[in-house]
Amino acid sequence: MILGRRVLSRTFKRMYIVPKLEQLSREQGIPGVLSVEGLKCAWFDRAEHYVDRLNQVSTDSDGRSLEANIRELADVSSKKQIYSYSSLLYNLKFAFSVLHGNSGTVAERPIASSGLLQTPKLTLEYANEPLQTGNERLHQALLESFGSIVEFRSLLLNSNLAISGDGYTWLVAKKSNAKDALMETEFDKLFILNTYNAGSPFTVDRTHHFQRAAQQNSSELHHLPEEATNKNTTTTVTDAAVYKKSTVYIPLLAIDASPKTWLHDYGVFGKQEYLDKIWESIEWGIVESRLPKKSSRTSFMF
Amino acid sequence: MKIQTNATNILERTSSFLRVGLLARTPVWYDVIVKSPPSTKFARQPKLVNPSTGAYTAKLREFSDNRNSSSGTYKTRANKHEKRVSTSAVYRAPKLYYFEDKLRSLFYKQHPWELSRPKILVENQGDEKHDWSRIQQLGKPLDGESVVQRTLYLLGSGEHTNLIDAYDQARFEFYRLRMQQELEEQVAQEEAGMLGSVFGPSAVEFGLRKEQEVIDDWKKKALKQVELMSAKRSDQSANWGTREDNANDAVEIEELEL
Repeated sequence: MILGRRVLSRTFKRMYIVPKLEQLSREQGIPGVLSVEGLKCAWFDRAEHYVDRLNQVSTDSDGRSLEANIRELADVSSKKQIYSYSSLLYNLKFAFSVLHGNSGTVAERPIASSGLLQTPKLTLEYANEPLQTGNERLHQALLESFGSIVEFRSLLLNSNLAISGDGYTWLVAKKSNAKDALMETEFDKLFILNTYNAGSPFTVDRTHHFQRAAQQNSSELHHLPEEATNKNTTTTVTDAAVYKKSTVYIPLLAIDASPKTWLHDYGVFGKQEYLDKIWESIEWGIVESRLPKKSSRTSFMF
Repeated sequence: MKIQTNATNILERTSSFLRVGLLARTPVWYDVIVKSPPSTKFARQPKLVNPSTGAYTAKLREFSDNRNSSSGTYKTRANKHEKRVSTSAVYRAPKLYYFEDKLRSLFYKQHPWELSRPKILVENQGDEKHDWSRIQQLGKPLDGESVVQRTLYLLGSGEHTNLIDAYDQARFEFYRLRMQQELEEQVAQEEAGMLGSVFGPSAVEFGLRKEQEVIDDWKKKALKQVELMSAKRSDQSANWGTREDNANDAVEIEELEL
């Protein structure tokens, strides 16, 4: 009887399972990006680890999805760990879901220290651009938001290169403020966003940061004569810079900046090389499929 | 004795004095000087060739076959006046021209804000050798000088034959790296800010604040002085104004009487 109850309780406990991506196999690696061992470090081991930890910390999980965890638990201090591991797992899966490899080969040995002082190449056209792969709609959206593909590429890859620890660089679409909830989701502009450690693009709320900056500004302004202290301008500037809580960003593409991904194959000095390879293996079709319809209205706010 | 322009011939002179017998004893410094004779020549030597351009500084003008129309003669020799070489031309320190200087001024004219970046002027040795087959160097920050040196390297290595092409390549490489650096700074700030850093005032803000303190102090003093001046002035007008007014009144009365 006791045994049966145990079995029952075990069967009813909901567990998170390790996500599977079709294009990633333990035997192959990602051709042109990661070797077999590299992919094991970057994806299989990490995903397993995150899932294990997530199952450990979420004892009372009532079968919520990762996304629900991220959205609901971001500001619950007692469940911060659940949020963190959900976010890490979601980000990792999102980043690897667009990597389909390319025809190139993975470097045999890590990049030497001379890679640190490499002179940038001045090419203006790269392999695997969205237009080459036939993603006209995405190409147009990128042009409207970033000016050109070169600008977009350097912003995206440089943002990622600048992350010193763990993090992700996201291409996000800002959802336009549709008055009617039944209306189809539309976006008005694309942005590039960095998240650090277990940060998530769904909980982008830098209000605290900006409030603190504003406070600091106003306290500094006390030193100035009264006519210079125009509190109204400070607050409006801050208001404009703050990401509205109602603003929703739709992630389209994520690039992993973590050394856990590139260290094995590319070595300490190989992040730039890794990013170049990543660009060549992005499956733009998937990115485009995530892109909602373009809003006809133009907006000037964030 | 003729004027000794060459102070370094002290060894020869002392030797000959000793040989002739003018000096009875060998000076104490003699052996030292024999071992390490002075090498610096203090006499100014006329420079007849400019070392940077290779041009002659004192060259006689060549004469053409032109006939002097008034006298019907040909000029074949330089006159006394023309033969005289001005000393200032021969002894003047020649002006040095470097090709890099033109590139430097061009770069900083096009990118004036690059001059506002802090720069270390102290050198350890001053003879650092950099390998300009790449634009980034260890121990040297990326700046306009990198572009200049890289341009010269590209020209010298034969990668470009046109100066403008070489300069443009170096410039565009520089832009790419600057973009990367700026984003690195921005991301580092963002990362630190999100993890709780609160940054102090920047160098410019600090300077402005210090300046503002002085201005505030000056303003107080100025206001005091203005008060003092206006008080004096009002006092004066109170004393003299009444008299003037009286005088004016008197004039008016006179006019009226007229």
